[in-house]
Amino acid sequence: MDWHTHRASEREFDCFAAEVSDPLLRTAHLMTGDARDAEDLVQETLLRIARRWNRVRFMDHQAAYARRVLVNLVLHDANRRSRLRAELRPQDGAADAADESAARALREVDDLAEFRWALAQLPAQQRAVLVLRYWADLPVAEVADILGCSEGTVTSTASRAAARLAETLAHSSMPTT
Amino acid sequence: MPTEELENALRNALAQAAADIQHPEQARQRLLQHNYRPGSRHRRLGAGITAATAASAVVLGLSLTGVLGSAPARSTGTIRTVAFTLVKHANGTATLTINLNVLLDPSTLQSDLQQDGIPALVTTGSFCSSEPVPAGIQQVLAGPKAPPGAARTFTINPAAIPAGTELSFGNFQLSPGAETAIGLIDTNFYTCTSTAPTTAPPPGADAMVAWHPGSPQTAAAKAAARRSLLERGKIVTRR
Repeated sequence: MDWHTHRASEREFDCFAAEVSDPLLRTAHLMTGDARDAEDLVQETLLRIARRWNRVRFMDHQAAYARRVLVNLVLHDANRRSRLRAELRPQDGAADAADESAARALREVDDLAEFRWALAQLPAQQRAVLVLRYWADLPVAEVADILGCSEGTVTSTASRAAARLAETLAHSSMPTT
Repeated sequence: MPTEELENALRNALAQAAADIQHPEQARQRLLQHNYRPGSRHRRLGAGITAATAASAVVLGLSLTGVLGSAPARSTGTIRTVAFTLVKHANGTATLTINLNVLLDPSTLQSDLQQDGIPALVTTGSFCSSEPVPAGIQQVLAGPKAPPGAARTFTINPAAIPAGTELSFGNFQLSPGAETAIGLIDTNFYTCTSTAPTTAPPPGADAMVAWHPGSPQTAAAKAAARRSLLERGKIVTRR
């Protein structure tokens, strides 16, 4: 690669980083509940992509790849990968009543810091399902692919996570600073 | 399955929570001003992750006072996932078992190998190699050969990896089953092809692919392998 091509490649990466850093930061913050952890994770994500930029730059969905790298980092840091598939189990039984109760609790949220704190109390993989499915707005199939589980497990985990989130908000003991 | 009402409530709550995050512009500027060139130092920005790794490192008897940079390496231990198991031994070697019946996440394996001091490039659906092929794979890698579809177990000696090189793992889904190609590559110069090797190469041929420790490679065999890769599929060159 000559100098001009190298500089063009660097500028491409700079543009890519500028484009994805904000959504990655917000995703990381929602998934960790901590601003500094979020920055660390996004920096590590961008470092890994920079190292592989000469392959990533030819991908059709670079932002989606970046998000996948970030999610893997979050879950790896949570050190639960070996138990991830055991915890992401399909849930049987009627869940509609619980869903209605959780929906009501979420509609009544008026303290967003408290909501983010409650979100951070969930297990990492439940947080991942909620953030990827309802903030990144990814289809169930794509969330399942990222997390390495079935689509049924994604939907049941979403219900379970929402119920747990609502219960945490209802009995909130968020630390005050 | 969550009701539509619950899904809408989740979307609204998460959208509001994300929009309410106060720091993005400052954090974004810090991220964009960071030097991402290969080899640049990675300065930890916060304490969260470092604290998490500090907890485990203290158990292992490592000191993390003033540590900046990537997570401390493991001394020994096992990482077990559905797709692979990586065991680090007290003598510094590592045993890697890949379950070829499970789709491998290359970034996860690559990250875990690097954490164990094994520089590696892991790809799925492609294989990266260098010309000339760095010597020394026999000192770095040992492993039994098994029929396609079975698990693959390798013993890796990171201390034998020559400076300026790294292991290249290429995972392919072939018609009889999955397969992994492994070789040594020059970290700064390699090419990647998306065409899977169809059979294990005979000694001296297709020199850039090693299913297991290969035989010495002649210059003619290397040139033939290079022509073979150029003819067979897409090659991405990094210099």
